[in-house]
Amino acid sequence: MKTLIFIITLCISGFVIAAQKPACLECHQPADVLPKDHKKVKFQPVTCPACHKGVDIGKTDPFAAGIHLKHSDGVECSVCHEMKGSAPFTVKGGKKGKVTEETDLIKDTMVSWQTSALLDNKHANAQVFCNGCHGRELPVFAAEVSNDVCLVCHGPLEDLQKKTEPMEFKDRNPHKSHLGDVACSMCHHMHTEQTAYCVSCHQKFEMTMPK
Amino acid sequence: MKSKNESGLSRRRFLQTGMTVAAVTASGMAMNLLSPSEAEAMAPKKIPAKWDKTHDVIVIGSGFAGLAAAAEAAAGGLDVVILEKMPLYGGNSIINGGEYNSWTDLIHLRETLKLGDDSAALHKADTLKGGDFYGNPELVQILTDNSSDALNWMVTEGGLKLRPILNRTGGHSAYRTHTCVEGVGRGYTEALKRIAEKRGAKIMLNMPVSWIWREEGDNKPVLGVEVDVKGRKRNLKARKAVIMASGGFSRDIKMRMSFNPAIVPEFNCTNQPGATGEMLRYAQAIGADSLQLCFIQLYPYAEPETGTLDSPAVYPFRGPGYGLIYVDKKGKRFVNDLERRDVVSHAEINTGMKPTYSIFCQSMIPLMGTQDEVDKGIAKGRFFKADSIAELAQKLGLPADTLVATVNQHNQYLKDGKDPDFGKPITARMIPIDKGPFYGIAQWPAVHHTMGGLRINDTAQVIDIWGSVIPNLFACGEVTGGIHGDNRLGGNAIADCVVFGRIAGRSAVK
Repeated sequence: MKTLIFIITLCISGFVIAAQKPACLECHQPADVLPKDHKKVKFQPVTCPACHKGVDIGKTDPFAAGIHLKHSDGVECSVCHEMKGSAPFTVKGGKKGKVTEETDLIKDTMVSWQTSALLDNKHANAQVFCNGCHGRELPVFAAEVSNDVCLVCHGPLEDLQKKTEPMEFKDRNPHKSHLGDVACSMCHHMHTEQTAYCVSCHQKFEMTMPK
Repeated sequence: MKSKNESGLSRRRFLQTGMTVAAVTASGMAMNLLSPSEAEAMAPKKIPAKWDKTHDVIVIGSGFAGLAAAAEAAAGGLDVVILEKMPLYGGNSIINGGEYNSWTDLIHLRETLKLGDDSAALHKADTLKGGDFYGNPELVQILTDNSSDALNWMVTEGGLKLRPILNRTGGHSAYRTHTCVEGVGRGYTEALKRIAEKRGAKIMLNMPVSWIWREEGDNKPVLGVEVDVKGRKRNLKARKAVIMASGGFSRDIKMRMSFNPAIVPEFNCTNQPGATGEMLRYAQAIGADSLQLCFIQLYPYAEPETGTLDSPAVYPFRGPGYGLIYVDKKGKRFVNDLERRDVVSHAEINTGMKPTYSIFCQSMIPLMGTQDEVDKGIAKGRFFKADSIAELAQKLGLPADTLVATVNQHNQYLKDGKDPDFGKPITARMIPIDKGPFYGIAQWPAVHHTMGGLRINDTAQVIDIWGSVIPNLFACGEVTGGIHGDNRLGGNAIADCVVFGRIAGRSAVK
């Protein structure tokens, strides 16, 4: 059953597989991918969509598909998806997939991750890929990354608080805010410029974000 | 951040001009007529053919009112989502001064502290008078009748902790102003958030609403909202209700000046940056009525340089009932210290000298606050402390002789039980400033609260410009108008938000 879902979702994902080695074969053997009761096919890149037609990616949420859920725990996006070059986010060995608003966003984000001067690129350089922060959360519209995820590498919080405690006014500590538990991402944006939120009210505070 | 503000401005600008068209065509085609994003084309904004997500109740804003509304709607078994445009929950409430008026409470503080009599009727009378009778008496009565119950609810259900103090504050004729342990509004927002989340309501951050969908035609219901997340729009359907709890517009200089040109840009503001009022415009665009938008409150005791309302800035508000006095730069009193906020603010401005100061003494501190808070305030340069009035004057940069004379004179007035200079009602609880250490703090008015807003009825339903209820649309908190009149009494905002938030939430269930 597992493998059945795998292959079907691979095909409904709408990417027409070109005459290159399909991404799934990087890890799987054809015999391993195909369910036992599947009719015999000569496993070519174009085999799946030739039969499994008619699913329009624009009408389905690609991230609800089993393939992402099955892989998001251990397999990094870049194993299946092309993340570099002129056509980021296509499936390796495939043609360009249908572009939806969601895939477009992810594509932009991936370009940013690779090339920007933002924090996402810093994470890229440290070999932190999408699911390093997002896990399975990426598909959710306007998903937020919880502080626990950040603190796995950047914690514990007490250390951060110590690090940013001002010499003079100790209560002006961004990591010990009077606002209570605030999201790291309130200031530390990954895919856009960081902003010191405190300054939006405390206009005279001299606060700069680390580069 | 910057670009978000800019696009917000252009949208509002369009809405201002677009309103005339909406009003003219109000019969039949009026709802959802104009699309801000298609301003030039003046294209009708079409109701979405399909919805990205559906909830029973959509609450806009996560401050006191929104959280209270969400909690009550969720208690009715509904699927409730709170949309918060900022990256932080709590809106302006989380940085509010934390003062709550209630004539009684479950621990009977007033009786325990022997602070005299009070009643809901007296609270109502003070509130109406303090707003020069512009407030709707029916709504004010709902506020004052239910504020105790709402306070007790936050204590018992939400774990709110109150300080064992009670203050008589400007414009009130009784000691009824409660303070939470945190000394700021966050104490209440956390209690409310706990109740709301325990009951299943979900908060979504960074979700600015960019339109309210209302079916076209007379008396047609509100259907849902459009959200705009970094330029990507989604439509959310509300099966039962959209509850507007989006706060005021103190941080939108252009909007506040369009209603009250005297609130000039030079004024500081105590509010968080999200208090920009665009939701009010979206509601107007689908026919909602609004009232008294020109009534905008100045908080008299903000930090003079930046307008921040920090913990120290609440002391001048809490203190007059225990004998704290206000002086100008000459070291002289200039107003009845127990006056309402509008009167004190204007008296400060009329001194012609910025800033003014509050003067108090050691024995008042445990009655109106905590020593810890004052010590922290001293450490960050907000409070000044001295062993004599003359020394305090020197630290504050005031003429020592005058300040000493002013304090002595006021001490005498307390003995006499009469304030011939400004007619302050002297009470037995007021303490003469004659034993040190003595304290002082600078203060100055900053834009704080917008009393006007959407017209609602007693069940928090939004009323349209023709006087009819807009089906499925509710509003509560600072986004509404007509409760506080031309001047909100300090400590009435949280009570207003929680009381009417709960009413809106319960109405949505019906």
